[in-house]
Amino acid sequence: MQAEAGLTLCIDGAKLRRLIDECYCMSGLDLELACLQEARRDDCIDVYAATAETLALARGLGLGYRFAGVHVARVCGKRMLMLLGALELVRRCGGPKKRYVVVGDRAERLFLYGRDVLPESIVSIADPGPEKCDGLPWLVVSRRGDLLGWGRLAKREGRVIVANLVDAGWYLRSGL
Amino acid sequence: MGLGLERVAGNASRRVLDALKRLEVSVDQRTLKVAEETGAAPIQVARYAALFGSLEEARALFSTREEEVMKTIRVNTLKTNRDAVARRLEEKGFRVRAYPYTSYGLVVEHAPGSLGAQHEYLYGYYTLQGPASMLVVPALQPEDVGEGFVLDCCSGAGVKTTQIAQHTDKPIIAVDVSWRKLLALKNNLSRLGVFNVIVIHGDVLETAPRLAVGGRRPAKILADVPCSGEGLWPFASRRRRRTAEDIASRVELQVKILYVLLESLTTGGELVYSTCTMGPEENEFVVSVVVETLERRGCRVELVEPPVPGDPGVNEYLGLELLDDIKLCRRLFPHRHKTEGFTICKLRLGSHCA
Repeated sequence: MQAEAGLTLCIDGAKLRRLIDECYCMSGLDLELACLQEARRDDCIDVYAATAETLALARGLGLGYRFAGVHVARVCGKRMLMLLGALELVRRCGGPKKRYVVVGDRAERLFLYGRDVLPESIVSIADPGPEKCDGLPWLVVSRRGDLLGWGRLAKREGRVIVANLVDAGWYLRSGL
Repeated sequence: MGLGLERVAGNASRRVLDALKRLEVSVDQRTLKVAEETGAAPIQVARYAALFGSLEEARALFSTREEEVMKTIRVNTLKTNRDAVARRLEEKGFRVRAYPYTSYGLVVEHAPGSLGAQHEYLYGYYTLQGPASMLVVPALQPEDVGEGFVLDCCSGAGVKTTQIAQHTDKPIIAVDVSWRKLLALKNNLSRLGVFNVIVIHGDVLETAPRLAVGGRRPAKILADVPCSGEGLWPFASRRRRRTAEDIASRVELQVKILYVLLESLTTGGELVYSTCTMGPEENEFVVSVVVETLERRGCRVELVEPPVPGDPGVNEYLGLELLDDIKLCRRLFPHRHKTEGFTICKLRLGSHCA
């Protein structure tokens, strides 16, 4: 019933943390990243964030556990997919400082239904962060500062849109 | 788990079944009429009539409907505060007031839309939780866990697990047999931003002893155990007619769970045993059987008054042997307290068995 393997230190844990910190924020947080690779068809690794004390207890338990903390990302080859759990990392850092898009009220509602954000609904686009962040998703933020999810800036008919990658409405749609 | 515990649990279940079968024989026309009116099984009406000493009150219990029970939400203090959530909901036309028994509960008096579909719910600013359910974690007082950790024995989707995290940032181990419920727990950890939970998919009857053998004894345990769910009667979709056999079979499992959990506690540690039912069979009787069994083995276990409201536990019911101190438990009834039905007992392990 219980998977034998638990979370392990991520092979490139420090590099992963630096990337998250430089593109979004993670500095000052008393959290560690740990990785889980389960046997499956793909070669993706699941990244979890948990308190150091929690991970230390998990490793010292002497019995299997499924996961610990919050599922924040998946790394598939060279691609890093940010998940909804990662929004909390940014919030705990005091909110987004780079690589985020502020959207209007109507777009907030539609984005939470899984829709893209159209050009006329983009209120502002922040600094994209250093070049190493290219290819990583953008935070989508409401006018009130709520973190709605992750998107990708794209061009449609010559204008910038935010393509929906994952939004907080998924918690309702997931059926769990 | 030894044959001794199987025997104790089996005996407890048989004693309950015998008591309920004796009660069944005495069910009269008046009881049958109340059963027919309310939809409850005759034995359910008879049990609560015996508990209250009043058939009329049993009728009142089984006539309580969802609209009469407080609708509450629990504000997630890891992300925000009660006033901020109240303001945001009021802007949308909700009418809310503070829930008086916790610092983070809101009673929703008027809801123009579904609470589970609001943006604020999706952002993790609050979660849905009943008023009685919200009292179980404060009864445990996880903030006093010291340098230890908390075990949530039957976490399900983690409503109470995530509530524990609002009281302490020390590690919490959540265990459940249902992988589907643990997937829901994973989502809740993400939505509510809870970083100090370890999730184990397994049977707590095996997990808790293995933790103890490894020298990892929890300082606090939440035992919100599987039960008959009679306290959810006001909610039509959760309403279930229960037979004497239904109740007795749950008693057997509950005795085993409580026994292994108390054995795995650290000395001086505390455990809250709770169910969403008001039947003494699944509450005061289970606690009495387990405490007496452990004390016969030389353990010291004491009942502690939990810091939550409610009626006292009952120490006389259907001739079952119940501890005197069991009145320190707390009981909530839909028709008296406008909450879902719940029973909460708190225990402290003075010393392990000799």
